[in-house]
Amino acid sequence: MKSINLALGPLLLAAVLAGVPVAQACGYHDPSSVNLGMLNLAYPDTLHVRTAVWMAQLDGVISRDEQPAAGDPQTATIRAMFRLRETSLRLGWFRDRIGAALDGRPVPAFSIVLIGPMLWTRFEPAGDTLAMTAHAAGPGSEDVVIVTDAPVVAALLEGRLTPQQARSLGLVRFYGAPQNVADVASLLDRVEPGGARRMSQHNQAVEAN
Amino acid sequence: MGSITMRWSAVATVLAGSLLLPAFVAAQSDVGTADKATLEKVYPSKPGYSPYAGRNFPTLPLFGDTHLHTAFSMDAGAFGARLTPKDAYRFARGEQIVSNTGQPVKLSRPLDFLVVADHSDGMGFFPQLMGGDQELLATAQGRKWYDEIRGGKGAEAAMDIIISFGKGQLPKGFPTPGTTAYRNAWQETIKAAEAYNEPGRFTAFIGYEWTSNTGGNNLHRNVIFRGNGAQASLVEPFTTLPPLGSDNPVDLWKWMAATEQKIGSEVLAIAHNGNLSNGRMFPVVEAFGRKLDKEYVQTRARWEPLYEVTQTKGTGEAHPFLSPNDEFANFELWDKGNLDGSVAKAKDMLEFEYARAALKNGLKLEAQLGVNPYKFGLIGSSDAHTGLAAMEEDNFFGKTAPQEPSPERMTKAFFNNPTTGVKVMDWEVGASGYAAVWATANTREAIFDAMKRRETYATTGPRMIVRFFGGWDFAPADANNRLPAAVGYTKGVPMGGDLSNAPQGKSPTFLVAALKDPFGANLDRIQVVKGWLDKDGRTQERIHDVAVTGGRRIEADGRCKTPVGNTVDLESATWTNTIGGPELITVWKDPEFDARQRAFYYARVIEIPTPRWTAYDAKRFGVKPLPGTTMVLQERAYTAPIWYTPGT
Repeated sequence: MKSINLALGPLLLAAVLAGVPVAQACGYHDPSSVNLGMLNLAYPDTLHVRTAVWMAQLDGVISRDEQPAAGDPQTATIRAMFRLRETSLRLGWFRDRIGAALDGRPVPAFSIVLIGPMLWTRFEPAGDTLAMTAHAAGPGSEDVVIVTDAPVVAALLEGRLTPQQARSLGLVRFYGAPQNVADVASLLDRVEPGGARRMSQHNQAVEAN
Repeated sequence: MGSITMRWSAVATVLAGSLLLPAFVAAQSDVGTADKATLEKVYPSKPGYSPYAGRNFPTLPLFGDTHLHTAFSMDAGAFGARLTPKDAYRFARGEQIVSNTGQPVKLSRPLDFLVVADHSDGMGFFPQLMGGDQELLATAQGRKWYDEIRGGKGAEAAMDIIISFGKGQLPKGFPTPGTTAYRNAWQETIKAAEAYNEPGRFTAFIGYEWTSNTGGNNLHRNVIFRGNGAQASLVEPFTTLPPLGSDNPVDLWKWMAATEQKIGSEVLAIAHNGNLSNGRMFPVVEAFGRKLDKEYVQTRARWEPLYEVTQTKGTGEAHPFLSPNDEFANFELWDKGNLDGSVAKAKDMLEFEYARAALKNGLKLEAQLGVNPYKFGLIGSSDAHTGLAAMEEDNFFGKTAPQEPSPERMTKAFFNNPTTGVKVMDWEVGASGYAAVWATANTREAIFDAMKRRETYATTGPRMIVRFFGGWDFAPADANNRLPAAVGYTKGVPMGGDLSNAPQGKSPTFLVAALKDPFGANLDRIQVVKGWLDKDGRTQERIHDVAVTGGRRIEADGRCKTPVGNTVDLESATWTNTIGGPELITVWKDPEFDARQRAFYYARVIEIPTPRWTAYDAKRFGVKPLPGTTMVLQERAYTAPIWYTPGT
């Protein structure tokens, strides 16, 4: 999942090596910052979600990654792979929970972007279930976009947080046509709380790996 | 050494009181060099009972930022800045606003002035694009960028925009001078400054940044207008992209000359980050393939009276390699490469990057060509790309929007280029600095004129008050005077001024005084840094400790070898003012003056150690700093020099 973040680095370097005068340089261009910044342009105030997440972590509302920064690139890559797998599995669980809340009312397609890893996941109605595209390139053009982060999804799955609470804390933001946003928000609100047991089992499985 | 040190509380009262006086407009223009003849005109020789009546010298130490970016700058926008020039001025005036990352933010106290200096190239591009500008979106390229950004491919879009810009392959509607979009962005910038400019209370300058960066080598300049919106509206900023613009500073100076003619008002330019120019900021032989000649040095001196010596991307006063005897030179350095990290630093570049070395080489060029191109005063500013001039260590809102406070910024890399080995961590970004200006009033005109005569100093964040005067007749008893400025202007010239024609047998004397930031830390010492051209035409430098706190001794070699101590408690991110002192004043006489040799002198005021922003972050976020993270610093101020030129 880090590959998206790292994508700009070689490109910028290539531009420099190709002699392209990068006149718009304030300084050093961190690719993940550019990705995050661009998201903030397309979906205004998504950076507010990032702040809400770390504030909720400091308040103990959601869990905090206590793992120290990896000292070498290889360790960082291995950790990133495990985190991608863990997050993908969580999103799969989340899809199942949302799917269970479908009640025949129409729901537009929506995409969730986790702003830490900048991981996009698309959800589309498929009959009476939801189809999920993990590690999507981005949202569909008409999708409702939901901006949040991995620890928030984990907290929702573990029942430590309701979707309404997540919204009120600024941990989740919706973007799209107002009616579509209302429909998706309503769907998420209908998701049954609980599931901590299943997530716990899942976590054990992840840790075993 | 002929110096004395004493307490200065009455001076503090006077200086602080002057801040509370209603603003007044100088009866006479204070433009021009602050020489003795000019000063005699503005200071009455026979005051009445009130020592303040009739006083017309600059009494206001005004603090501001001449280098702040908002969402209108392409790179700031790409990093997610959404605050506009209006937001930036509101914040600088002391209002509480919401930052780009959703955090309430307010300065400890208002600034006195601000220049929103957005990059001239592509000004306003991202707000225009993401605002759905019809002309831009009607092009395939513009639509592609818009869709990519909305579709989660912001990085790809950014790269495409950078390459397209570099090749000059820009879609119709892209904001270049002469287009409606560009005009709109410039007008918005002007309107914001006009709306928040309040003579006597807060000065909102009109300005922009010209961003020459060929080969990744920083030659940036901020351009500031003295005049008002109507005047600034008569032109559009100079850019770097041909055919409308140029990356050569000589062409910027031509634009400035033409602009002054056209608008009937003055402009000036302030260069910055020589440390990221890889040896190109202060040339001594050639620039852009042309040998330095009299025209170059005259023109540069004409348009660039100041240099921004400290900011978020490093402090560029001195470097330990160039000044091995300066134990304070290793301060907030960014010396790993050029601006984009594409070329690593080589030691032989440093001489042409740092302010002190430039001041010295300026003497040499003056001897050769008759004009000193590097006769600049010093200021600090932020270069923040957030719209927030928040450079207090305990209130630091970073350089870019993603670097606003968060637990991540202690450990994240800002840039890492494995090919060149240039790696900069977020923790290396400095919470620096501000520009201090001695002006007669808080107005565009008065501050601009003070900048032109170089009556300025740089601070790395704290608002300490510093006076520095040079003359031939200052005596130790002058340090007993509770109105040092009255003595200073009467008997000498202020920072930024000139001395010449040394009287027979006399050495220059300096009256220097510093008062701690009322919200900040005590002072450690005042130093006078001297640079000169010796009899063999070689540049020399020497640092003199001229006033120290805590009863420490200045030895015969002019140095105090005893450190002031350190009260910083990293665990709680606190310190105490139980060491150092709140004020210092002294008269110092150059002990090794040679009237035949060109020289400059500037004061460096150093605070006691205090927690760096990283220490506050570690405490507030409970984050363990990476090994090597700087957690404590000694903030400082650098005055503009006073130059001595032998008589003809």
